[in-house]
Amino acid sequence: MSDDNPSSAGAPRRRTIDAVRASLPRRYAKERRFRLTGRLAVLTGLAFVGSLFLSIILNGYTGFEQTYLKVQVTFDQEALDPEGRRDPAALAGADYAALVKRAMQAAFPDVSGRSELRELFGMVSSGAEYQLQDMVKADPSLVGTTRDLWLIASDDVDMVMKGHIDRRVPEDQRRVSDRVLGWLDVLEKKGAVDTRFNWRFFTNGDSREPELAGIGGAVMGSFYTLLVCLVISFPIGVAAAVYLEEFAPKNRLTDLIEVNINNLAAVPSIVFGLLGLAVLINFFGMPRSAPVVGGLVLALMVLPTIIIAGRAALKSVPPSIREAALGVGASKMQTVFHHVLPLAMPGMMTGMIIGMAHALGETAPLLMIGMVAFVVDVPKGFFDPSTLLPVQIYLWADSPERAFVEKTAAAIIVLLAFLIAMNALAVYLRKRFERRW
Amino acid sequence: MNATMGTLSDAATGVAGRADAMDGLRIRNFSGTVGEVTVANPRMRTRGVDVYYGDKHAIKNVTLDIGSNEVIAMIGPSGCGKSTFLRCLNRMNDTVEGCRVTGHITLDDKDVYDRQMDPVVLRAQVGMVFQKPNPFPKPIYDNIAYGPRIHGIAASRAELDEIVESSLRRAGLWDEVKDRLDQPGTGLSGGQQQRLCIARAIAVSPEVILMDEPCSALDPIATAKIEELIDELRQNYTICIVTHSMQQAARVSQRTAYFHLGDLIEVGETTQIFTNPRHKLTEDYITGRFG
Amino acid sequence: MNGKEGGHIVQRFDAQLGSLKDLVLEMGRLVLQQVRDAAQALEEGDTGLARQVVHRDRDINTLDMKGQELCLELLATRQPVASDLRFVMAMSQAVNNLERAADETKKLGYVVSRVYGENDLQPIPSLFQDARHMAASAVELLEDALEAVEELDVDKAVAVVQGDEQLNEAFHAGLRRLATFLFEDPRNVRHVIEAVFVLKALERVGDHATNLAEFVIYAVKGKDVRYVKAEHLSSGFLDAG
Ligand SMILES: Nc1ncnc2c1ncn2[C@@H]1O[C@H](COP(=O)(O)OP(=O)(O)O)[C@@H](O)[C@H]1O
Ligand SMILES: [Mg+2]
Repeated sequence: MSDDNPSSAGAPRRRTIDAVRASLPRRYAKERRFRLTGRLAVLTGLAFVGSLFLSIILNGYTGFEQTYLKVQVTFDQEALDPEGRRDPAALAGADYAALVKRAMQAAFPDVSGRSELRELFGMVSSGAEYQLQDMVKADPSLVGTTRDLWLIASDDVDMVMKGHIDRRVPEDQRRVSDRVLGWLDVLEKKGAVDTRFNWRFFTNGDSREPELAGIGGAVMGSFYTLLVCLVISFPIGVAAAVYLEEFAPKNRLTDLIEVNINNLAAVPSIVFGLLGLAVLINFFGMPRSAPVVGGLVLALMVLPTIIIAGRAALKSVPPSIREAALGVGASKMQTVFHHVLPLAMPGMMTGMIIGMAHALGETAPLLMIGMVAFVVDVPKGFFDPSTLLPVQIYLWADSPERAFVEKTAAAIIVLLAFLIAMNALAVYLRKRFERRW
Repeated sequence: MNATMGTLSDAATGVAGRADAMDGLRIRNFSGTVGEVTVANPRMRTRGVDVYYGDKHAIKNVTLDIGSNEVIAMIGPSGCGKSTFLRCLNRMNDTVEGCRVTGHITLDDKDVYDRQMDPVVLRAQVGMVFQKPNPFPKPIYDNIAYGPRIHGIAASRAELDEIVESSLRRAGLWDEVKDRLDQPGTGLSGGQQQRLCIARAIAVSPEVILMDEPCSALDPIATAKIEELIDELRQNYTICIVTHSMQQAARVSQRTAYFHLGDLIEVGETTQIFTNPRHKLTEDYITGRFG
Repeated sequence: MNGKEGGHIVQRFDAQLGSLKDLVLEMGRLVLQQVRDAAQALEEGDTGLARQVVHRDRDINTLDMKGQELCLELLATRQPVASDLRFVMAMSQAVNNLERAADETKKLGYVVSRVYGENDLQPIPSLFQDARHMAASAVELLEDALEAVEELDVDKAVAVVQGDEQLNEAFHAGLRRLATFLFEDPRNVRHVIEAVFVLKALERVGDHATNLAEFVIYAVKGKDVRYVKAEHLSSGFLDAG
């Protein structure tokens, strides 16, 4: 077609077509380039996220496992309950550490010398004695018997087993001596070394010993804090959004409020922490490190987000619905509560969940109100000292022991799982209740 | 001039002792509308109504009676204030930020903008159907039952059922939806939705029904059904309809009012307006000479 | 009225209305020619011309059909209202009236053929004297009516309506005079009857011209003045509500 004589009768039309044809390759090339850049951008982003996830998972998955050593433990009547009364208090107060030591010594009878013995005893975690204590407490009839027990290995042994401590490194640069490695090999040959799923990681509080440290305390702390945050911020946020969007007159004051809500959403979160410190703790005298205070501070922090999301949700309800309700004689209040709010709820919930996810991942303001403390006990209420998941991660990331690296990563995996679950819930809610008009 | 109009309209109504009721309805100055703005048996009256949106003067000194059991059509170019005027009649403009209404509007001789008049009560008496069908995203049954419920019209569930059925019947929708009353109203076709909205409006037994371009989103068949419905509803209701379709105004209404840039230019019998309008602007508009 | 100034937004509508008017005017000119030719044939006893007049009626019938079709099309496709509606209705009636006026001229043609074609008895020369005058008036009336249509001029239309009175009077005067021919010589009766037909036909042409004018008034003013006495027609009456 394009080779037609341009001076023919239909010349002007032909020329348009030719011009279009001529410019076509350029246009398509441009489009292709644009698509390519877009894809590259997306791929880069994905690559970053992917490598982040990969490194966290590779670092962290071993954190969910723990090495155990099988040792024959004799629950010595003499050592535990010399009077034979099975008195729980006496049993609880007995010296279980000695049991562990004796058991280790029995496993390697030819070891002697104080420093060697200390190394031998160091192979089991200091948590092993509590393991025994718990067993006896649960079943006092154990006293006087001898059992093969799996005791928690120390973090160093754990690291060796997981390959994080390299045996080929010269002994003086390695945390674990050749002797210990030898004993470990002996045990392994006997089949007395095993790695198992680490339940303690989910139930324990923090600990100085990596093999005993868990996120249980932090998860409960986060739970209590978020509960406080939710209970406070959702009603206030929804009420504020409804009032501002539906009832408030549009004047200077409400404009000012609106601007300030938007500003508040952009305030660095640590400022809210300072506010909590100054007002809640110093002025009102609320306890430090407590989920109530954390929840209040986080509620303040997410309120602007919730209000803005809530107003957006209300705005997206078409005015025709309001008119319809008003048209049959519904009052303003009935219009809002019978029609507008139910339709806006999914959007508000989405905003709420995103706000909660934001709160869940927040660290900075909590540092200011003392939620960064080392808390061993799992909190049991809103006023117990506690820590939160992200703060726990921050604390562990700061710890020098090699074994805390995998704990940190494992905790991050848990946190990410929560965040993804919450966002997925938000997406689900949006899809499920989305309405078309 | 005030007195003149007062007596004139009294004479028109032919009811003695109206003078006191009309006292509040003094006309500030003659609006300049061509044609007979008053009718013998008015249901609603507007006297010297002005509407402002902020500084914008959207309705200028409009005086118009709306007769009982008549269909009055409001026509005029876009933005001339038809909807604005219509929405004054049930105080729908109250909800618009910055909208100010002055002048007098009465419904059965009660001042609509009186302090004592609750807009909720007014809107129960003056229902409205909107341009875009706007059923609630709820079951069909609940769409109709909503008005009676909030006003406490039905004493029992059975009574409510009856209201729903009779409203749907009168809207000519019963046979089409009686088997799916529990399905959302938004699932109906456009024309059905609009009839549902009309049924919803008549469920609270209003005296006046305002319709703002009720057929502009509908196809001709659905439009015809609505027009037939309007014709039937005229027996029991007074209907004000804003329409962009001159043919529709001609088909459904007995009187037609032509608005232009906020002025009520001409009112008259529909046949007169469409065969022999008296004002040049009306003529130019309806014959398509505008612009 | 249908000019560019103040025309419809849809210009094709204007064009259609214009072509309807053009058709009416063309038809009017044809009818006018018919009246003139018929009158001439009568005057000169020209049976050939009379046959032509009769023959040309077909063209007018064709135009009649075309005109009605055009009106129907306009009604169906444009749904005219107000002045447009009145204009279309008026033009439809005008076409109808012109066709009937043409029928009257055909009758004249037949009369001429009958009177001058059967070579036995020539009519008295003065028999058609009134017809001559009336034909002239009818032509004038029709011309004025067509002018009123062309310009949609109410004043001219009113003048036509009022002018028709004179034609009517001329008709009655003519009838009285024809009666005297009968008294003179009863053998004239055949020709006098023909002359009555002629006068009646010319009077009808005048009536149709008047109708044309009345439709112009209807189209422009929206007033049906067919049953209003001619002397009441004034611009004051027409503009009153
Ligand atoms: N909410 C509003 N705020 C400001 N101006 C408005 C508002 N609603 C309508 N107007 C103005 O008032 C005039 C009349 O509008 P409207 O009554 O909707 O016209 P119509 O229904 O005749 O098309 C228009 O010029 C419009 O711009
Ligand atoms: Mg409108």
